[in-house]
Amino acid sequence: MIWSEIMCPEAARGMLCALSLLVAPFFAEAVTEGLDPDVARTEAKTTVKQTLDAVVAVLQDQSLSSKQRQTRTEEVAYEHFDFATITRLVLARNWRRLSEEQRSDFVVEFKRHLSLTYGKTLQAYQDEKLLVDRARLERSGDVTVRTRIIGAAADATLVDYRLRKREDGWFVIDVIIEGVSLISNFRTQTQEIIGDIGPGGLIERLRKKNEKRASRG
Amino acid sequence: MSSRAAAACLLLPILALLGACCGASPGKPDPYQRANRAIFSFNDKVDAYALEPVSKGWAFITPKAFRVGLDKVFKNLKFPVRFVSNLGQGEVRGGGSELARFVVNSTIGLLGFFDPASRMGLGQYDEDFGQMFGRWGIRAGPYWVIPIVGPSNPRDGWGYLFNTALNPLTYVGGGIVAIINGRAILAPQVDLAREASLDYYVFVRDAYLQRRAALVSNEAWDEAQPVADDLYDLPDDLYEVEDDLDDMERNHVP
Repeated sequence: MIWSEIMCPEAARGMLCALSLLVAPFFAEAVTEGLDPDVARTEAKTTVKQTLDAVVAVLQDQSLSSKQRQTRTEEVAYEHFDFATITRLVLARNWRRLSEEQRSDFVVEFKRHLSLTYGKTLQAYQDEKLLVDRARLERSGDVTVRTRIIGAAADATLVDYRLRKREDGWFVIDVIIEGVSLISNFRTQTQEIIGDIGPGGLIERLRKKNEKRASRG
Repeated sequence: MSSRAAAACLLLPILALLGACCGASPGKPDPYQRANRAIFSFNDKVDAYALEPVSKGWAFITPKAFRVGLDKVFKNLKFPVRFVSNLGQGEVRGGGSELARFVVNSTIGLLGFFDPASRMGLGQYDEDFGQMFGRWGIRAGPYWVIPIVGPSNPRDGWGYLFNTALNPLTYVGGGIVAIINGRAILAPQVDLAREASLDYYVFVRDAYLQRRAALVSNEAWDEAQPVADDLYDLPDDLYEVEDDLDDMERNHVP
């Protein structure tokens, strides 16, 4: 090593580079674990605030048709949600029961399904106030941000967003409405459906549902 | 409608006994799925053909602010349920706060139509009998869908009886108005659940089980929840198992 460094510094640098690439994944995890809790909470809260502000701006823009509004809220979701992680968390161990083709089909259809749902959810709260409340750091390094929807019923509706840090920022990996995690809920649903009619049936059902919803606008 | 609800109430203790005798195997969340699905679909039809249309009419003739205010009035009236089940869990502070809220909101808040108590710093401590039984260590038991009442289990079923008995509305026949008004308020969520679910029955069951578990646990929100954490772990051996499967398939190729 030392010999080569003296004789050939270029090569040594190259090796270091290769080495750092190899250990990079470990460092990436270390970053999450050694994260300053206050910074993490603030960053995650900012991401949620940006997401909600963007959605509210779309909802309040009177010049948009309802179809455009739906598309725009979907775009906001695409920007701030980590669909790859969400999909894998939902399928969990069932992931391996899907063929390569089924996997990519599922990712596409499920992403569409979630975006449609997210857009619709927020449209239902058009007249309400959305407030970002506080945040907590999870043991895994994720951050959960609590938001409140005020004015729809006797009580505020509590919506928690769970975010995970990637190199390019914080991304939503779950939405927990009044204690009900959507990841967990969809996992239970897909498990039962795959158990009944297999992965192909699940994807077919999802596709039909999306087509029907999209045509309805 | 109310006679059916009454019938359901009468049936409940019998069902609870049955459930206790059969001793459904733990770990399986829904051992009576076939029966549950049938009752669920019956309830869903009752909703689609009676409750939903009526609540739509109600929403048409009332302003939204009025419906939300009325929801608050009905909630205020359920004060005895919250008071007793707070004290039953040793939550003196919660019970006290609920008592003060009831006094303030019933008077200054015009029967609870407004909520000045919250602005005075009197927090809500939402508890019911099912949650109290849960806190006592009574297990929920198998998932049940009760006719008209909806998703439940033996523990929450008994809780429902006590909740109903301690709700003043029960004795003035106002329960039906509360249900119609509540359904009108929940309309967007119900529509969404029907539309967004891949299997509406499983969607509702899972949401119910998660929600009740969260309500019973009473954990401080600011502390990280270890139980929730493993939901978000991507299983490390996911791809290893997959490789095994590939190998197996390859080996089976003649």
